[in-house]
Amino acid sequence: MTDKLLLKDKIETFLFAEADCADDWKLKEWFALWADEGDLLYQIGPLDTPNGAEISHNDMLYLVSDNRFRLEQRIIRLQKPTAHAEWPIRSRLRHSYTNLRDIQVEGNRINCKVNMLVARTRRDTEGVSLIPGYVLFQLEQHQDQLKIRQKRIFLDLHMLARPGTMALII
Amino acid sequence: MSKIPPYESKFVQYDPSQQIFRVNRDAYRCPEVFEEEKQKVLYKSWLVLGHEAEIEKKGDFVTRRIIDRELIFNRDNNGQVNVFYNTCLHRGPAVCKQKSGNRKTFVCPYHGWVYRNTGQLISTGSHEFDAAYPKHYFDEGEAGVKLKRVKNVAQRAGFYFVNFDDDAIPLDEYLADAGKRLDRIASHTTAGFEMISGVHEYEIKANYKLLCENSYDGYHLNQTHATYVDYMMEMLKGADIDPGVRGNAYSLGNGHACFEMPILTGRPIAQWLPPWGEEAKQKIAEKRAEVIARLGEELGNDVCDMNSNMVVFPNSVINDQQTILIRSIVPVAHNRMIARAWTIAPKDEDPVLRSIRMENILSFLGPGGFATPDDVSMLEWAQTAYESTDVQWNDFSKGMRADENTLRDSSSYNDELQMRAYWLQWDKLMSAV
Repeated sequence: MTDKLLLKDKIETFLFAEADCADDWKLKEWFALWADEGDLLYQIGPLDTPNGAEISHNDMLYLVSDNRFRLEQRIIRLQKPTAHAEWPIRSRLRHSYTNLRDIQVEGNRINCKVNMLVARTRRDTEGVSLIPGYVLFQLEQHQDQLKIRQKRIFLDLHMLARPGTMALII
Repeated sequence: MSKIPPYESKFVQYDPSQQIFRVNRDAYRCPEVFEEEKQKVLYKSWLVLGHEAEIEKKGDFVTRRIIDRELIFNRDNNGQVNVFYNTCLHRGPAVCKQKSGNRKTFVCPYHGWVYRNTGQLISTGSHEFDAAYPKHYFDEGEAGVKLKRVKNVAQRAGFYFVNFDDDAIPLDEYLADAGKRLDRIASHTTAGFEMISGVHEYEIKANYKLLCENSYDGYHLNQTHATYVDYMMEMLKGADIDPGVRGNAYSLGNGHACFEMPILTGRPIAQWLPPWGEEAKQKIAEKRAEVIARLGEELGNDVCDMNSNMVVFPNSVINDQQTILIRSIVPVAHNRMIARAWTIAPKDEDPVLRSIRMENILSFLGPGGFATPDDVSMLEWAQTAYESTDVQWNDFSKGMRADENTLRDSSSYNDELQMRAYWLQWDKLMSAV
């Protein structure tokens, strides 16, 4: 295989593992996939614009914009029984990442884009809700390991409905 | 406002001397009650529409659903603020499908009727078509065809309200002391406010009044928001700062109420938290000094330190906390609502403080925040239980004194005076023949 295909395969394998951690609520393991040092960015962008990725969270109301401190606090919070929205019965989640593209390598940094479809089932609501969108990842190669520096999610939704909130990791 | 004597109605049991305040769960779970309250409460009240910052320039508009009415809120080319029903006078479709923007005209997509942003019809699609209509249709005066206006539109401290009732009392009279709370928010800056684009819009499967109650409920903080309180303590770690979990609630007349707490959730005006760092500390100290120089020591400190959550009866929430949050609740059915929240910020805000504001909003509020999802779960679980258990009454008696003047009184932030004031007003309107 060419280097390009090898890299693509490596990214895919990594992202599938990341998705599994989120789907299985393995929150500590999920957070361990992030870079150990320096700042992080985990975002879910604004819903009512098609070009949210171009607008800073300083200029428009995002749904989530976590730096390292808040992301870590989010993970701590979601593991507690007092995170009522997802306790004692947690949403069943299933991520699908497809259409991996726009892979750009700069030094040890890799930017890429994937489509995302998360199916979510909550016991106390009817049916399955679909959360469609795309993700801009910024990954880093540390020795032979990939780590997440940024995960920016932009959803194809006008508003959040059924269920209307997200106390989970997508 | 005189005291209401003890009474019992279909929906409310009220007796301060016995510390009894109960609300019938039918008020949340019956479709018939919802239809009745639309007519008697929602269409009879002043409802928050938006803020002047959203339509600052000539031509600026916002389209918005208030209760079940689709509206256009705009500033026309003469600088006048209008609220129109969003429907073509010809055969009906909305004349504006965008959420916001700047337009000189509104065009119906069906046959092409064109309205100036003052509401006046100026074309029916072409000169040829225009000639097929009476000339007065295009008259700028009274005879002309114009987008229908909502008759009662008024503002207080930049916050715009509408009222669909022809016999509405003036807004200032309606707001009673809630008006002063809006004035106080306006005192954050002398430069005016700007709209932050973007909106948090999410569906909740619960009666809209449950979200009103939740919005100024200080009592649920430690339990529902245990994880947020943990997060707050983490932010204050090692700083030897009093977290400020205390405060008062006030009923403000006509069913409006608020609580006020010095709680350290952090405020760009002007309360610093350790994780924000030294540069922010300096900027916040400067902002505090500016506010105190302008408003005096007592009021200035109050404006800087106090988080306030207010419900303007019956469906408008205006919070002065991590930011100035306007939450308009759209009741959709007896067991369903859409919560829509957006925010304004001082025009002259330092970029460092603006950045803090934008991040701090998200830590607590919104569908991805550390608090809102848990609130929403509580409301949905309450609604489900109302509909699936044979229990008739909710209890709102916490902290009720025998001499309480419910519509205009004060109590601890974690009592339930706020909700009692709301429900007395609601019941008064529902009891009207």
